[in-house]
Amino acid sequence: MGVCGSSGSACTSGSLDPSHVLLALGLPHEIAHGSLRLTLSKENTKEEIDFVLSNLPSIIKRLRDMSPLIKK
Amino acid sequence: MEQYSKKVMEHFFNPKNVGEIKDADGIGEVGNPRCGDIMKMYIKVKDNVITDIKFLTFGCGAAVATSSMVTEMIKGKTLEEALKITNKEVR
Repeated sequence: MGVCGSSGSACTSGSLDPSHVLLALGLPHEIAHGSLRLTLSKENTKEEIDFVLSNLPSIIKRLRDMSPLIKK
Repeated sequence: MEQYSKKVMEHFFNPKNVGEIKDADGIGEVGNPRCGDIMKMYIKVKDNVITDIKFLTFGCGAAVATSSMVTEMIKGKTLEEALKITNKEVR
C-alpha cells in the first residue's frame, strides 16, 4: 500500500504558487508552501487512513529536520 | 507526470550532509518563503580547503536533492574551485 498526495489542488496543478486559499486565510508563505493535500474518495477505507496516519508523522519529522525554518 | 531521475530520488531519500555546523567558518542562505525555497549552507575551511559542509533546505524534492548533490561536489575543494561550480554542473 502506498500514499498518493500532492502539494496543491488539481485545478492549480500547473502552478508553483502556494495555495491562494491558504494565503487568503492569512497563513504565512512558508506554511502554505509546506502544506500537503490529501483527498478522500468513497472507495477509501479506514485501514488506508490508518496507514497514512501511522506513516505521515515520521515523514514530516524527516522533512522538518532538514529545514532551516525549524528551530533545532 | 514527470518523474525525478534515479539520482535525484536517491539524494532526496538519502540526502548527504544534512545539518548545521555550530562553529562554521562561513554561512550562506538563499531563497525566501515567498518562493517556497530556502537553502542554508555551512562550511568549515582549513588552509583554503572546504573540509566540511552541511545544508538545511526547505523546498521540494529537487531542492533537497540538489543541495545534497552540490555539497558532495564541494567537499574537499578549495574556495576558488567551489566558486567555479554553477547550477549547470549540478546534475
